[in-house]
Amino acid sequence: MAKNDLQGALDLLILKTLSHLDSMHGYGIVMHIRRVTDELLIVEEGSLYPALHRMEQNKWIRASWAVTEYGRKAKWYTLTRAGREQLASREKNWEQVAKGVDAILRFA
Amino acid sequence: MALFRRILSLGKRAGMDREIDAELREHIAMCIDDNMAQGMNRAAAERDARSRFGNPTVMRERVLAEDMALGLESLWHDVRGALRVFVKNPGFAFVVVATLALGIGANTALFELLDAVLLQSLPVKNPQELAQVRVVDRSKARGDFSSGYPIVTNPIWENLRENHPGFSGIAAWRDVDFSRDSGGDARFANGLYVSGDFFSVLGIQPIAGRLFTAEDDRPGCGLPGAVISYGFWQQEFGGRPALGQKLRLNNKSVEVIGITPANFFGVAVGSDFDVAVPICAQPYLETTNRLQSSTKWWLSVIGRLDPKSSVDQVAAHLKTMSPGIFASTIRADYPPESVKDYLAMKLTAEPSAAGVSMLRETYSDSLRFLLGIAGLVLLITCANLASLMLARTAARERDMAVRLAIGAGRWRLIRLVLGESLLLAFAGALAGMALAQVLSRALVAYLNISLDFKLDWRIFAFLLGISLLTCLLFGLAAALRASRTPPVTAMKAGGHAMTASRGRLGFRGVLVVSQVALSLVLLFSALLFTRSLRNLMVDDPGFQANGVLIARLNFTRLQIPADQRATFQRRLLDRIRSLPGVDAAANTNIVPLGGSGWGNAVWVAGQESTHRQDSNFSGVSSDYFKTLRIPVIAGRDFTGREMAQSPRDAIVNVAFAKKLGLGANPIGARFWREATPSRPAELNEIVGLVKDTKYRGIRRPAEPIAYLALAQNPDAENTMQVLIRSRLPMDAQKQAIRLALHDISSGISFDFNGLQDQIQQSLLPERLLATLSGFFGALAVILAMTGLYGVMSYTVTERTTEIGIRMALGAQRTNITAMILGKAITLLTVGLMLGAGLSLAAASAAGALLFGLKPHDPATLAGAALLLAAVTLVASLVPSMRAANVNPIDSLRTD
Repeated sequence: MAKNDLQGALDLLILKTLSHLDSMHGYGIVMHIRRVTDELLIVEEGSLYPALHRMEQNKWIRASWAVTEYGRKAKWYTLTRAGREQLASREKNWEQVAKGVDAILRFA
Repeated sequence: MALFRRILSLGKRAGMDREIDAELREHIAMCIDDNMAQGMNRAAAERDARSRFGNPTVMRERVLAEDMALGLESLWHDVRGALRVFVKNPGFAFVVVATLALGIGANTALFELLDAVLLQSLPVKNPQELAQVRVVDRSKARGDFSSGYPIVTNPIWENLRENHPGFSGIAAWRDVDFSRDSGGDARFANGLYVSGDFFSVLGIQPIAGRLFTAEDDRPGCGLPGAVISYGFWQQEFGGRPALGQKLRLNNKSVEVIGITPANFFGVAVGSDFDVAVPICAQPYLETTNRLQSSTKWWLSVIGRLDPKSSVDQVAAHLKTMSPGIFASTIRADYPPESVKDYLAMKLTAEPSAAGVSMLRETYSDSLRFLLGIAGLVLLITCANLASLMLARTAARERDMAVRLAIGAGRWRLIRLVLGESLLLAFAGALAGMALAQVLSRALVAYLNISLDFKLDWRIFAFLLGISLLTCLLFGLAAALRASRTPPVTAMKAGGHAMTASRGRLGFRGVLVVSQVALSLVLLFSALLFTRSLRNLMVDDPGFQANGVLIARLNFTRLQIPADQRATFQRRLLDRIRSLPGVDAAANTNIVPLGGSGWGNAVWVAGQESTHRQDSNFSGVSSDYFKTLRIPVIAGRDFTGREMAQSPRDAIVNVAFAKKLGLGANPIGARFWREATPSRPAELNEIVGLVKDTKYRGIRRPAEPIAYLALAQNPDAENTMQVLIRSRLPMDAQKQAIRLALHDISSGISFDFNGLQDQIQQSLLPERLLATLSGFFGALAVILAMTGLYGVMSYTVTERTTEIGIRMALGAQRTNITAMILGKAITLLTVGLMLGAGLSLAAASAAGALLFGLKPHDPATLAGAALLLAAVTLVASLVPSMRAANVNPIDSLRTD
């Protein structure tokens, strides 16, 4: 359960990031999450790329090669329709989990 | 679809590797760019990026692992890996493949045999439409029954040929030996008498010439031509054009008119035909005419159902037609006392798509039982392999744990182990298939039958099925077991777990226990069958077969008039008796335990014929009892000078006297023998009483026999069977007889057989059971031995640390040995108890196959258990001793 939830959390972060940014490469996703969470959450590359690959296999995201603003070639990822649906359901799920955990923590 | 895509992408791994590499490289580059933008120098920026990123190869593997979660390619990768492992470690692979090959090979060979004997259809057009006609209960019929197949007389056949509702066509056939030589050592061709429609009803097309039609099969046809089989064509003519060539059959010349296709062997499974001639040729080829007789039962009838009829409908038709058929076919030659029984007989039909088969009746029970046994061996093989794989996997547990720790999924590991077992199963199946070919051919040669083996889809499916099953059974168990260990436990425990050992032996223990139990079942049945065979072989048939030679002589070619044949026979017999080395010789028309019989009803003189009893008969010359060493209890032997007076002399056995209520001394009593086709009812006077002997088969108890003097038989044949008791070795005696016969006339043909050999030959099904079950039993014991040995050695290795600690704390070597041996004994005891229960359950199924002992024979079971216990204990003794030699210091240092 714990493992699934953590993995689910990473998926959720990536999906949400892509929905904000439309299209982004792996490095950009790592940096975005870092910035937005004020370095609270640092996604490790060792987890990111297997996750990206898995999501691509599941057809939640689509990838294509393009050039970055600094002239580097990179694989850019975009959400698919299935990805958006996945994001919606995971967001809902996460809110419930968070609410539940919160309730436990606040129980006096 | 996904699978298809993956198959397509099999070769693309390199491309994907490159793509992932590129993506990761760019990632690092961007990272470095950023770092430098924040003011780091290049070296520092690179160092930082790399430390954040980790090992790129590991990363790539992990990305790929995600992609390949179900991928075929990595399975192939695993198989290749396994191959490398096995090349490095050939002993293990060899043991596994050899074990599998034996298990699978034995199963497949038996299945092939069973399939050929029981399941395969005749190689003819729409075999499922074929049905054979048979008499419901033949036991009330009188006359000569010269075949084990369902048979009718020629008059009944002719009646059916004219009138066969429900059949679109109907045919008759009879297998026969045709003599191919004029004199000397006999050579035979497997002949078939066939009705004119035989080939067209079966739908056989000639590959050359033509086959018979109704025109060929006319009364008084002489010998209109011969149809030969493909095999005979190859063997006799070397495949050269044969149409118009002449053959000699029973000393008559016949022209070859057609050749049947290669796959057609006739309709009797297990025998092959060489030459077919029409039924109407029978009187021309043999001395007695069977066509007009209602006491010569010799033709088998097979028909093709018309599309509108079922076998049941035809059977019903035949039943209602039966009174008419039997009423119209009875001839004057039928014994008047039995006419009522004749008229009450019924015909019926039964499906015959697989042909008629003597083999089926002889072997089907044995073969089914053997297939069951072979299946058990396969199960044991699986259990054994599961143990082996487990031991291997356990040895690699650390390796597995490392893989799990770096993120390999459980499924990935399962697949790794499955890849190995798949490879092994594949190799084992291939080896097994090769072995099966050898084994099944050896079996057929052993049984001396002719069978057409094809590796058809059924056998292939069977083979594939059992290989996959084996693979799954032994691979999956090991794989699941391996992947269940939490990595931390495995890492911590290292190679020498103390905590996990009990649970581990649990599963391996189950394997060993079931192996021992199944082995006991096999060993028990092997011992049962061996003892049963022994009982049959040492069973006293009432006579001494050892040292007796059977010479079958045929002097048809000399054309001796019927009234002089008896004299000629006596001359031949006297000549044989005068040969050096011959102790005694006698002529008989029934060789005991040779399978043939002669039965007539008898009743005590002065009583009504309704009190009649069935008895066996045998026509013998003087010295018959001396030759076979059958004790004469009272009265005398035949003199050889018996005349055709009445009452005729008879010698009876004890069972005969008892059955007719003649008391302890029946000498002088008289009995009637019912009329036969050739003779009216005859009065016989008992002149001798002999001990009981077996008559038709060694499995049957001694039956009543009346011996009649051949000298009083007015219709002496052109053939004779001489039993010769000799002091010389068989071969020398044969040579002497050969020369003597040649001296008399070169036109006499003959062949020889040892009486003991012939009896042995009749025990072939029992011998097959005993030999094969013995083989499987031995295999099972070896497997159980290696299984227990493997488990115990593994336990010792696993518990080395524990043993070391115990020894360091003062345990004696004997304590350690006892501790390990105790475990083996526990497993063994549980296995034996379980096996004893299973054995008793299985044995009741074997009851009908046994002779002279009960299936629940406690001594046999105890013997099997003791034997198994002894060998397996020896197997576990070695690891136990090794345990006692553990050096405490070394063992504690290993981790």
